[in-house]
Amino acid sequence: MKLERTGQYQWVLPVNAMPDMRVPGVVFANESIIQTIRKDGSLRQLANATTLPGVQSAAIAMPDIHFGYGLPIGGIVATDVKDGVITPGGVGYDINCGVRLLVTPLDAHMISDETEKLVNKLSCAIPCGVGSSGKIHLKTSVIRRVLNSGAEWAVQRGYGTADDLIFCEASGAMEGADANAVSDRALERGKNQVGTLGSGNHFIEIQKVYRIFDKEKAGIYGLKKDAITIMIHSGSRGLGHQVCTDFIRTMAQAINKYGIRVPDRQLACVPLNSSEGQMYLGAMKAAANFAWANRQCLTHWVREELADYFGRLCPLEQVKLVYDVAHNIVKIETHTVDKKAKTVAVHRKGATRAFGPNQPELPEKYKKTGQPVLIPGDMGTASYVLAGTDKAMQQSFGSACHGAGRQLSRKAALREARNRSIQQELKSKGVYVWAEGKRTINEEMPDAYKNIHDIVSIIHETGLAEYVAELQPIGVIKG
Amino acid sequence: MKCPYGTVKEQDTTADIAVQIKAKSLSNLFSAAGWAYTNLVADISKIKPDVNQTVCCQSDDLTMLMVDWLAELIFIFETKQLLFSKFDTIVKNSCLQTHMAGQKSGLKPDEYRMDIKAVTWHGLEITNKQGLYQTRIIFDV
Repeated sequence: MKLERTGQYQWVLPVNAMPDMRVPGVVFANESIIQTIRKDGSLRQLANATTLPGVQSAAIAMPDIHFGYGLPIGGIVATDVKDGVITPGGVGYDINCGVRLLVTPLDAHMISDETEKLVNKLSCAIPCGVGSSGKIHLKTSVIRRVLNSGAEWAVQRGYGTADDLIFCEASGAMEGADANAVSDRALERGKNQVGTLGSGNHFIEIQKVYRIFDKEKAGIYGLKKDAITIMIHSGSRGLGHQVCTDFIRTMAQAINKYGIRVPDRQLACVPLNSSEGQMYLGAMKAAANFAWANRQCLTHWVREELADYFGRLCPLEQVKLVYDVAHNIVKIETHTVDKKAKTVAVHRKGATRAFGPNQPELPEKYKKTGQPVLIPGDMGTASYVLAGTDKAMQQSFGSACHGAGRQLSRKAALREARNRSIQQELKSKGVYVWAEGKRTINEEMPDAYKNIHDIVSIIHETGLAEYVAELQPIGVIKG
Repeated sequence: MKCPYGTVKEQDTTADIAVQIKAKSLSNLFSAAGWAYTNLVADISKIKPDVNQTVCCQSDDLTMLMVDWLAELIFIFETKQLLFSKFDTIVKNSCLQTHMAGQKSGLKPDEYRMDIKAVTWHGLEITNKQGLYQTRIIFDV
C-alpha cells in the first residue's frame, strides 16, 4: 500500500491509499518495521479501520504493529461519541488484557540464588495453562458483582489494599459497567477463572531494575536500581472472549439497519449511541472489570508467596503496585481534535494508554510525572517503564505501544526452536522459565518478538512516552 | 492424522493460527472445521469417541454459521472440557445439526497443543470453486 514518510519515525497512509478511507493512517515505526509490515497485511487492516463512520484525525499504529484481525495489533482508532461507531473489532477478544507492575522491598542480590525455587513456588500457587480454572469458584450473582466492581471486589474480599485501586487505570473499575449485558455463556466461561493467568503470551515475570533513565520519575514510581519487580500480564479470560464473540455477532446482524458498510466483518460496528452500541459498551466495561479483578487476585497470591518465602524481608504490604494498564479496551475520553476538545471513543487494541502530566484521571502521585507506561518485552530481553507525555495527548490519543510485537508466527517460532532448548538458552542468560508445556516456551521464544529496545526507542524518540527504567527478566512463569 | 472429512492445512499468521479447509460438500466442510479445531487444541488421534453430543446452530448466513458452530465447540471445551473427534453434520439453509463423539479431555497440561480462545470473522468466507467448498478460518490464540 502507498505509504509516505513524514518524519524519522512517522509514516502516513494517505486517504487515497484505499477506497472509502475517511482519514489517513499514521504509523510510528522505523524502516525495518515498515518493511516487515508491508508484507504482513497489517497496513490493510489499519486502512480498514479508517473507513469507520465518525473516525477522528487518523487511525494510528504503534511500532509493535502486526497482523491481527479487525484493527491490527498495536492499533488505535478514535470515533466521535455523537455520530461515530463503536466496534468490538477495535478492542479484540481479550478485553482489558493488560499489565501490572509490582515493586518489592527485595534487592537483586537477595534473590539471585532463589529464582528457580521462587518461580516453582509461584507456578504451584498460580493457576495457569490451557483450560485452567482457579481457586475461586463464583455463583452467577457474585460474578455480576465482580463485573460491576472490578478490582474493588477483590480488595473487599481481602485480596489487596485500597492503595491498589488508586494505582490502576480507571481505579480498577470502569463506571457504567452493565453486568446484565453480559450473556449467560460469558458468565459460565468466567465463573472459575477469576485469579487465573491463562495461556499463550500471558505471564508472571520476576525482574530486576537494570537501569534507571530518569531518577526523579523512577523515585516517584517507587523504582530504584536493582530492586526486584514483578510484572503480571493477563486479561478477562474466557468471559471477555465470549463478550466479544457475542457482540460481533450482534453487530454483524444490526449493521445493515444503520446503513453502515465495513470492508471486514471483524470490524462490524453500530453507532455508539444505538441500543446495541450502549449494550456493548456496558458489557465491555464489565469484562474489563473482570480482568482487573483477575489481576488483583493474581497480585494477592504473588504477594502471599513472596511473604511466605522471604518472611519479614518481604511482607505483603511492602509489595506495592506501581501501576496497572489496559491493552485492549475502548474508553470515552476527551482529546484535542482540530484544535478543539472533543469527546471520543478511543479503541486501543494492543496499545497502552499513556496519559501525560496533569490529566484528571491520573492518581495524585503521578499528576506531575504522567502515568507509568508499562511495556513488556520478550521473556529473554527486557521490559520498560516509561512516563506518559503531553505529546502523546496531541499525537496518539494519549497512547503508546503495548510490547515488542510478534515478528514470527507461532508455527515459525516452533520451526526456529527445533533442535534447540529455549529453556536452557534462557537459563544460560540468567532467566529461569517455567511453563506447563515446552511448546509454549518455544512459541514465545525471544526470537518470536521484535527487538524491544528498538520499539521502545521509537516511542521515546517520538516523544509519545519517555524512558524511566529498564527491567531485566530473571524468572518467568508462562501461561 | 488425516482429516476424514476434507483437507485441513494449518497456516501461519503472525500471532494466531489459521486453517485452510476444503471439502466436497458443505456438510463435510463444517465437519472438517470441527475436526480442525480439535486437532489444534490437542492431538485428535488421542480423543476417543466415548461421549455423544448433538449441536444445532441457526444463523443468518454461512459465514455466521461457521463462526457460531466453532464458537459452540470452544464453549463446550472451556466449560465441560469435552473434545470431539467424530462429526456427522447436516447443513441446510444456514442451519447446522452435528452429531459428535468425543471424550472429556483428561489430557495432561503438556499434551495440549494450544488454547483456542475464539474464532474470528477476519477474511472469513465460504466459497465453492469447481465443486469444492473452501474456507480459511483465523482462530484467536
